[in-house]
Amino acid sequence: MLETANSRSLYDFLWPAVAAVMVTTAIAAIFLLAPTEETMGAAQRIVYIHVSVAWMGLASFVLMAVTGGIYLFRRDLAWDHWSRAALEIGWLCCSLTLATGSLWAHAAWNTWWTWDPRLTTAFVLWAMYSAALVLRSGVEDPHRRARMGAIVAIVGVLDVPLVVMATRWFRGIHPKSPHMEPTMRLVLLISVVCFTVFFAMLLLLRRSQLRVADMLEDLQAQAEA
Amino acid sequence: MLTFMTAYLVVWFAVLAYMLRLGGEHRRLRRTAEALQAQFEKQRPPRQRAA
Repeated sequence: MLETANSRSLYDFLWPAVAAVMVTTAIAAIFLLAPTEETMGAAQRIVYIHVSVAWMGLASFVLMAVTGGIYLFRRDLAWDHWSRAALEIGWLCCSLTLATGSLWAHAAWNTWWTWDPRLTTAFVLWAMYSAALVLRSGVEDPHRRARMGAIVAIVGVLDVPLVVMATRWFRGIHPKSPHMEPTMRLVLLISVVCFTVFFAMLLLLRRSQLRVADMLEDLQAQAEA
Repeated sequence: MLTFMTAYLVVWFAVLAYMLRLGGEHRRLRRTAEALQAQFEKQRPPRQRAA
C-alpha cells in the first residue's frame, strides 16, 4: 500500500482526463447544441444542470441507504466508506439542486423560493443529508459513526420517492416533465450521462481515499504499539 | 444569460472547491504514508534492512 502511495499509476492520470472530457462534453452540449428557449431565453439552460445534479442527489441518497443497510448487517466498515462518500457527493449535488433551482425559479416564477411540494421535499432531503453530516462529524468511534449514519440514511431514504412523485401526487407549480423538443431532450440526456459519470468518478475517488485513510490509521496504531 | 451564467459558475466553483478538498486529503494521506514508511524502515532490524 505504501508503494501505491508513492507511485503514480495510469488510474491517476486516467480519471482526471475522463472527468475533464465528460464535463467539457456536457458544457459544450449545453452552450453550443441546446437551442435557446423562446419564453425564458438562456435561463432555461439551467434545467440541463439542475436535472443532472438533482438526479445525482437522489441516487447518492439511495446508495447511502443501501450501503448503510449492508453495513448494519455485516458490520464491515468497507460499506461505510461507500456510505460516507455517497453522503458527501449527495450533499454537494443536493445543495446545487436547491441553488440552481432557486435561480431558475427567480427567472420563471419571479421568486427565489416557494413552499411547493417538490421544493419542500427536496429541502427535507437536503436537511437529512446535512443532519447525517453533522451527526457523523460529532462521533469518534468509527462503528458508532457508521451505525448512526446508516440509521439516518435508512430513515431519510423514505423521502426520495416523495421527491420524485411530488409533482404527480400533490398540486404545485413545479413542472412535471417539461415538454422539450428533440434537441433539448438529447442535450438533457448528454448532460445527465456526463455529470453522472463525473460524479461517480468523484465518489469512487473519495471512497478509495477513505479506505486508504482507515488502513493508514490501523498501521499508525500498529507502529505506536 | 446572467441568470444562467450565475448558476453555471455556482456549480463550477462548488465542484472545484470539493475537488480541491479531495486534493488536499490526497496530499495528507501521501505524507502520512511516507512518514509511516520511514518509521517502519527505522524499526526494521539491520539485517532485513540490508536485504
